[in-house]
Amino acid sequence: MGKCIVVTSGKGGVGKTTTSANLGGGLASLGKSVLLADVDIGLRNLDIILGLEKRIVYDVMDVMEGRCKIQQAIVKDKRINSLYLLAASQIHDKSDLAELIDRFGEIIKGLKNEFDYVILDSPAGIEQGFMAASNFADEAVVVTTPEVTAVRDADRVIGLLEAKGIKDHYLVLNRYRYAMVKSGNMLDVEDVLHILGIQLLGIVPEDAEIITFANKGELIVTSDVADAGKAFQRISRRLMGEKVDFPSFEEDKGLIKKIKNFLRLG
Amino acid sequence: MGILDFLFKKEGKNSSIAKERLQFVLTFDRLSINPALQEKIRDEIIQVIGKYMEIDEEAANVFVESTESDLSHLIVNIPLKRKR
Repeated sequence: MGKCIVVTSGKGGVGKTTTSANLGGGLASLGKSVLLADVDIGLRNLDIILGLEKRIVYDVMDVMEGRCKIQQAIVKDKRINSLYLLAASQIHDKSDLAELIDRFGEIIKGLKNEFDYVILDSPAGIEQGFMAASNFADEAVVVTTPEVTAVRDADRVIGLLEAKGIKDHYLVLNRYRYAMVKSGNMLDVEDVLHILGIQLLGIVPEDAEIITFANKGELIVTSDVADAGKAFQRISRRLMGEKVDFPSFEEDKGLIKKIKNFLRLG
Repeated sequence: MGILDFLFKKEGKNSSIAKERLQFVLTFDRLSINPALQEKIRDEIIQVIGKYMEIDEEAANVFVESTESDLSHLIVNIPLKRKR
């Protein structure tokens, strides 16, 4: 039986889809079978991040409304073996929502039997889309950036996840700028963790390569050079339960502390 | 403050402003109350206590405080002048 993980944030534009895709790519690269499901009905994006936009024939709505079988709607990734996508519908029709959510739950249940991980890319906000996605998740990854707006919304989402009984939730702190943190102009990771009271899954540094990889429809997690790529590799391993150090940040901080202590003694 | 603290101190206070403001809004968000309601509670508490005791209304203070633990506290601080 696989695990269903919802990737969510509350605020839009903080990197949910990028995180979902690279988490999926990272886990699949580590040999796990992964299904990425786009739950952002009406605003699909996972397909373009993965470079699979031309291969989508059926979407999750087609499955729910019986126009195709689930196997027909699942698209295999071009580069990473064992990575699969279930696209969201671009058309937002006003069917009976409660019934759709029930059917969605049935689909997720079935998928968990087939894959090691089912990752749900939740839409922004805390409306039905988020509720549907988090209803069926075993664990949650909350994405935020070190900005007051994103942290506030993340807090709201964490409250809702706890109310739903999802106790295993972890934070991905995205677009972290070490230079700004150092100069005291950005909330640092400890501030954010203290405020939100959540376990850290990983820090993704601000990295222009995220955009260039998205432009090409490739996953940055496949890069052993890009800082954000390496960060997503570590995050994926941590999600599998491995203990992985938080390298650059801790080294950096540790060094300054050591110098300070050393000079104080002298 | 030692010279070393000065040297290694974060240049700006910008991030601490962010932290303080966030903690403030989250205290209210988490309790689903707002600063206006806090004012209303303050006024009503003063009214009730004022019926029985003479209080220093100007110095009276009612506020929600988040501590390191998960619990928030409603702090009521009402200086008394003398018993009526």
